[in-house]
Amino acid sequence: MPNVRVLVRTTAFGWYDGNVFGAVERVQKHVREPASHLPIERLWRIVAGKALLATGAEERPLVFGGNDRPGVMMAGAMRAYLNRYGVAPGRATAIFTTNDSGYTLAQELEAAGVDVVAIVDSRPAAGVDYRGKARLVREAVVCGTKGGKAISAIEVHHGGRTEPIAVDALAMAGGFDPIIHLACHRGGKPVWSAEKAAFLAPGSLKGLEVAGGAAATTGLAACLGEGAARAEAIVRELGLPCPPVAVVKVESDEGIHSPAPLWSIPGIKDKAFVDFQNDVHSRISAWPSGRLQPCRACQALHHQRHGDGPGQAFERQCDRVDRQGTRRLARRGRDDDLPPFLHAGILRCADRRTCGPSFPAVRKSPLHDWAKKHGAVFVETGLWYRSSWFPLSGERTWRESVEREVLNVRKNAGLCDVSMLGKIEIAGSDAAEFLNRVYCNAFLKLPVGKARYGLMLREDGFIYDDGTTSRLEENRFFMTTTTAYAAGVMNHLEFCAQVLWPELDVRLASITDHWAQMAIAGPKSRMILQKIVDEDISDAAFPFLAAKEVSLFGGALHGCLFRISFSGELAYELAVPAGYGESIADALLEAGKDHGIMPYGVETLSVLRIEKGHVTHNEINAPSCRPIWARENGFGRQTGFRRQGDASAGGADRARPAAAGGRRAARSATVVPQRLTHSRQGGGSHARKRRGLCHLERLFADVGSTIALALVRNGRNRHGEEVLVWSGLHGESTPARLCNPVFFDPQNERLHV
Amino acid sequence: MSEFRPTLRPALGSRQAVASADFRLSPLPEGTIIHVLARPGHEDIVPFLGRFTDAAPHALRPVSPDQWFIISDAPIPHQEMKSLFAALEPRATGVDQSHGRVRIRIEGKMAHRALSKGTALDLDPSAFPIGQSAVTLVAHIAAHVTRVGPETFEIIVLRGFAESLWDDLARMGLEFG
Repeated sequence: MPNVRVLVRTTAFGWYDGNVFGAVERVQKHVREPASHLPIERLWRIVAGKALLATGAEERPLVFGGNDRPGVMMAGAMRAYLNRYGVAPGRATAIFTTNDSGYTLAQELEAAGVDVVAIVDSRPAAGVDYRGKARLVREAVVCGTKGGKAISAIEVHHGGRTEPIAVDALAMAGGFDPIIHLACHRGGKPVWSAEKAAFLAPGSLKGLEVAGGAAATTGLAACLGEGAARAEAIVRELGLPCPPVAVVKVESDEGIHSPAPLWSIPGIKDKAFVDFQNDVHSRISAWPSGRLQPCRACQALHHQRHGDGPGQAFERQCDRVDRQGTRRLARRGRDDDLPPFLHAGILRCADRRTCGPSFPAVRKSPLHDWAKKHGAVFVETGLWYRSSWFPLSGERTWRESVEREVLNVRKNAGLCDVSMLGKIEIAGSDAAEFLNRVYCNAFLKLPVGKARYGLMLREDGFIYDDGTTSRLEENRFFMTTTTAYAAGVMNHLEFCAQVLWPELDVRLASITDHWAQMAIAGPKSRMILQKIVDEDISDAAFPFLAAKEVSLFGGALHGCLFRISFSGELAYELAVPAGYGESIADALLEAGKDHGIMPYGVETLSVLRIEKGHVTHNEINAPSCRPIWARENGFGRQTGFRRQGDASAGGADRARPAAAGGRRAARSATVVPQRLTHSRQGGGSHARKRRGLCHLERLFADVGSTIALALVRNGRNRHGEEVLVWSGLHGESTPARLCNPVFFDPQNERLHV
Repeated sequence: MSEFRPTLRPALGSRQAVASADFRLSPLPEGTIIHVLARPGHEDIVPFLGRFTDAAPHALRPVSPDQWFIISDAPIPHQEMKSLFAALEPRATGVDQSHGRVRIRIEGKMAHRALSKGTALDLDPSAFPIGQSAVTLVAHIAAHVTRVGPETFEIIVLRGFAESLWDDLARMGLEFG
């Protein structure tokens, strides 16, 4: 059937809500030299309309002393050796059984010419008529084995005495446990069946049926027939055609096993293993109360299930013992089975270092390759790679490069990729009103062709994000967000539009990737830009905070130009369609070659911002800084008092003291006259009363020393005061002086040239 | 610099097409993608939008409630785009996403098998017939998938993720090459 896929070497390890199954396909797990084009393992997520669990049953080992000695094996294993591989397990074999399957093994061994010394049956009578040569010992158990590296005898306990019998192989037939773990993964508990002497799947399983050995059906023909019938019924229930299922003829089929559970075995002296694979055995004196040694492997599996500590793994071990048969368990039921059924490899859930460059995904700016060819050093910012600085030959440290870039922007001009800032187009007849509500400052009367800095608050009144938004047309705005919160702001705006104010006519589209955006900053930026922009961009025609669509290269291309500055310099941001980004950046460098233009990165961008006293991302992201920053930068009224109780986002909580600048801290910059890299003054200084918090430190290129931004109590009135800045990270103290955080052009004269 | 002519750098220009018998991967022309957002009360505008598609198959693709993509292999000149946006008003707003989104075609007998490695979409033709679109995640990357033929899908992805998604798809199809 072409629409049927058979997955071999695959184990379904979990049954989850929605009838979803997890499965692991061992594609090349068994291959010595795996092919590079194939995975080693493959994880399958299978969403089933209906599912049939036909996992069969596993033979139950018997717990007696020395049951791990070589020569002791499961009856099923002995049958496989004999019938599949033609291997005799020994010359004198015994069988320890609790059901009729042991007699089938005896008949097969004898038919193959292998002597069966004894059949030790825990029941008073068998369900089959055995006529072989073996000695039958009824109402008896094997309580121990003898031998060194191989079994030489068994100890049979019957009639109140223990009898040794010499053997060189022992089969144990303890009955069968239906494999029903998956059926219990969604909360159902296994149900004890006295008739079947086994735990069965819970009764009501939605979307999952159990057939064959997994339902404790015995006999191969019966199992196959039941599976086929259930499968046929399921296919018809799904409304699919079902061809007739061929009936398989089974020769020498077994009948009912007539199992009798064996709850405990007396007279055990040696270790009696419960779980051979995981090396778990009962303690000699405590059996059957089940004091166990937790094993490492079971702990690991248990931890994957629960993510808990080693101690709890013990409980799972007890459960395994219980499955062997304490009456207590039959009364109260077995513990829940939890997925995964087996170790599902946690597939390379690490990072790029271990999984290669493609994991996780990489998000590239349209100017990524442009920056790369100019030697940019990149820094990971979320999934983006941002150009951090552009070292020139001879520059040995990032500080040298950044200092040169900063000074060049102050003197000439610089070009910086800001494409990764979030960009959202906001359209509709109520777009202005919408923005007026989502920002804490006014946007309703923003003229067409103008940009404005906006501060966005969370529902609780704290600052959420910031950026400039420009009115390009009466009902069309171009919003920029921070890089980190681009997606979050988009979600926030959608929530506002769809849930808070559905009455507003507003539509939102993320346009971050459509535009390659570059900042051109510096006193010569206009001269450079004017070479490629067709319109007049003089201060009179295109003043500070102007924004409009512009034509480039004689109409060859159109973009958006914004006269905004975060450096304190005459500056612009130019957005062009992303596919043309590299070409335009090249053209700008060519146009500005004679004016000394150079690319600069985000480190320089940060230094320029701090020198100018602009908000930094550290401040936006630190809740303790937000209200103080807002007040210090003229937003105190908007974040604290204005429009209390109106419909604006964040309006309800704006009256909170912190948002109103209730703390008496003020943002100050500290000039550090000398960096004391070898100072050992830090030992005692941290014990002094802390009077402020330094949260950002950068090179200050113009002064030639380090600056830091700090929150200082009553800072505005303490300018000029000498303080000691203590760094716990570096273990050093540095003398500093408090000053105005705006280092550069406090009168904003350079912005308006 | 009026003599300067800007040149387009395709987002997947550095990637080689994958062409095997059962699995093929190719970048599609960076033509036009217009994001159309219907104005509230004008949701039933699919026939109206059909006027802007040149009757090309699968040129109008649903994105989300009241939002569609209009797709064209050819770029639309600036003024023509402005006229188109004006023609959409007041029933809908058009946003140019031609450079913000990249189209990738994945086709071949095993295309659905390869794609299934990355998305939870049921790609069976009965559940995802020709012409059907869905926004989904392919691995960790948001993508808009459309079945354009029995064994052919088109994926629209954000430009910044295009190379990453391409590499993922190529690796997903390795075993079918």
